[in-house]
Amino acid sequence: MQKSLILILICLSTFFLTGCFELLEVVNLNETGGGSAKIVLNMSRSKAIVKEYMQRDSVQGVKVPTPKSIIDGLEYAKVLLQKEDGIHNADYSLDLENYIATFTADFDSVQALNSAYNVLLQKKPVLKDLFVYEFEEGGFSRTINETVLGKLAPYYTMLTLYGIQDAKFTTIVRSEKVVEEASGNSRISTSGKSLVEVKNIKQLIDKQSTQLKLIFR
Amino acid sequence: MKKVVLFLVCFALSLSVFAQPADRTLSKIPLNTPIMVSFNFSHFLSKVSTEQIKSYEMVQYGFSAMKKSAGKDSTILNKLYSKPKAYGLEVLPSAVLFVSYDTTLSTRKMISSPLVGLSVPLSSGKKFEKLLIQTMKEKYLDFVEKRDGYKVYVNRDFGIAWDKKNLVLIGGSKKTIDRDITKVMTLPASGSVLSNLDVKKAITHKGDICSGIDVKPLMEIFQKVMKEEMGKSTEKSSFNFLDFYDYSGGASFGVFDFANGAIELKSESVIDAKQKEFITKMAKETVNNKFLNYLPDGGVYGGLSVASNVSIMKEYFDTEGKGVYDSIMVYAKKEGVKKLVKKDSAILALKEGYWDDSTTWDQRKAIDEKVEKKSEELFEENLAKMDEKVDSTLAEYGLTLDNAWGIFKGDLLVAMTGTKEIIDTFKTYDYIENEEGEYEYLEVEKTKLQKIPAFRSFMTLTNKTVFQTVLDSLVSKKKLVKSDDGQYKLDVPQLNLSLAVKGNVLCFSNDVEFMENYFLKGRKVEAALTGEAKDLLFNYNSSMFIDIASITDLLGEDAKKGPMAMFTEMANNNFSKIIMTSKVTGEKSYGVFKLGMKSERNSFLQLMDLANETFLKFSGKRF
Repeated sequence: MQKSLILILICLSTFFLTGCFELLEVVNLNETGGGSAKIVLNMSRSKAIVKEYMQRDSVQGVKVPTPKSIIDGLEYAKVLLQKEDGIHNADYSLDLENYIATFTADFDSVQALNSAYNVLLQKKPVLKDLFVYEFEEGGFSRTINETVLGKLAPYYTMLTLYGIQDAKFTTIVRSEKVVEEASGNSRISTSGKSLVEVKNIKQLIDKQSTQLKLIFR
Repeated sequence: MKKVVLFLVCFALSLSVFAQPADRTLSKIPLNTPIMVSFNFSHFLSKVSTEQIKSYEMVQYGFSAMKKSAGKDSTILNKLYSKPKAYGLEVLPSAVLFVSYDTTLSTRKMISSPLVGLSVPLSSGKKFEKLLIQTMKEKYLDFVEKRDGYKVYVNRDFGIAWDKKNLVLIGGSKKTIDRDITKVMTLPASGSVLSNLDVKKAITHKGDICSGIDVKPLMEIFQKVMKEEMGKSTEKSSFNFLDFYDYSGGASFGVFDFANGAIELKSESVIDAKQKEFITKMAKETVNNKFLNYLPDGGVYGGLSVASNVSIMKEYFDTEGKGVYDSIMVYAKKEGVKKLVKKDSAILALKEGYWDDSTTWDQRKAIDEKVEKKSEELFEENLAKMDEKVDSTLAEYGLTLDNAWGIFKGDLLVAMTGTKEIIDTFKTYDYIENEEGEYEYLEVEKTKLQKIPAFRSFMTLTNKTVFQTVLDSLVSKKKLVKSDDGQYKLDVPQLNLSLAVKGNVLCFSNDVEFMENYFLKGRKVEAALTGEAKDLLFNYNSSMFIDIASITDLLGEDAKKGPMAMFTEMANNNFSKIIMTSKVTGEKSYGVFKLGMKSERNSFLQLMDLANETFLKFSGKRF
């Protein structure tokens, strides 16, 4: 089963090899700091290449997972998360036509969310605390750990050949509390209760706007 | 008047003598030096003046930086920069860089301690010495040694030596530097490259930079290195490189020229006596003229052609070339097995926990030893089974090692004939505010158009039956899909790659319209290729050309997108075409590489313009 987890990671790294993809993160926060989270990995822009790769055994020495092994991996991740304290209703969907994978879960607190993330990546300690969420009365933040980014730096140069720097990373945060202020180039909605931040992976590689911070009214 | 005319004649003669390396420059290069490169300044400066070069900001900046680091010696540097002859340096003629090896040494020592030298003519040894005294000051007396007819200064693994008319700079091993300097400065004429007329002729060709190769000594060195590299395989096949080649005479050369409107490199190589028959037969081959039926005039923007004959090659490998063939096969098998074993070893290491964070250094060491031992066993095991594996892999496609040789004639032509558009549909997200004034995402479908090159490639088949067997195997393994019109398509979405056979011509293309309306119907193009493109593709043993200007026009806006946009723009602004050809005529093989520039101005100056612009853009330095 743990092998399946490694397969998810290999799957992700294979996807990274294709370069152009979109990563979407949606966090719904309630007043007490719990809520729901959704991660969407959209490989649709590269689907021609992904389809080609999926027909092979390996690409550049990396074994290509089969659809069954991807589903097994996602199932395993779901099972793992459902055992975690503070995590509920973990689920996933997979569109193998357009190569879009979605993972959702409800959480009681951001600490549970952080812990759940690290549990999924326990076999890859180098990625520990890559994403860290914090919540308090006055605000919420999501930080991408620059030290971990630094450890991943050697792969970036190679991956830029495949256009990874053009890949997009978007975050939507919806909150029951009104957002007074938000960091970086995020846009706050008319209601003040949600925001969206779009950046490309190159900005993360260059360690620009690695922290999204909201201050509540 | 007589005296004036005599003076002018002498002056003109002296210039022509000094255009290429003078005898005195070559007199300091040992006989059997395999590699020499001459820098022919007067030839270069007849096209580009020093004033033009010094006018570039980056050159001025570079010199200014050198002056700053030279400190007190900057006045000398200034003078050297503006009047090198004042210090006895005869810059106008040629300087020759040479690399020589002592083949009496072991291979490792030979390769690690080459004699690298630069021979520069001096207009006046005295003036040069004056420069040296000014630079070295009191150290001159301590370090410069006077010997019989010349003086020398050695600094560990680098030395300079000079007499009245020559300066030689030598680099090498500190153990041998003194010996090498003595050797070079006391060379008799019979012991220098002057006594080898072929080599002398090779290195004195007209051009900005000329490299001369004395092939026989180079082959001896290569032989020594190859024997060690190929190890046991060489012993098993009893392969002796020198038995295989006979370069008893002749030298090869390459001439590099910054011409007006183009950068050119021309080479001329000697064909060795033992391969002459085989090479001469192959040289008569051209690509199949039938390919011309499918190449439109004005519609080929780039191409590659190779004319060879597999049956001549096989005949050669069965007879004179058997030793080489066997050695190559053994070497290739070993490399193939090494790769397999490397992969298995990596998997084994992973299973043993080599990469786990909790594994200690000692444990990793133990795993390394275990994996290495297992690798050796796997290597021997796989090597023994390699022949069987190759045979069984070929059999899966209906092939044997023998009949595989006979499928293709050996010619190949690839032509870029335009562009085609790929419509890419993909899902992405729009971010909108909903009725409650909150952000949400909507999954939307979008399309993007992308232009890619359209190409047609052709080969001549000599055994259609065997080739058909291969095609049928590929279809049964689902690598190809056969369509009713006789095309075999690769299942790669949007790229429309397919191959088909008409008569004895095999075509592989991504141009659907061409395949279906021309090739499969046996229909010729309205007007077949003519001019330079036809000459390049059909009249050389091998050739390649790229019409850069036309291709970037064709690609239009798409050429300016993506990670290659910067290079495409630079190429389009500065270069017009690339041409490479090779042809064997008589006893020599001729090669040409030409990079055409956009304007007819001297190519060196055009490159300097580009480099200077880049320098100014990124540094903002002006002074």
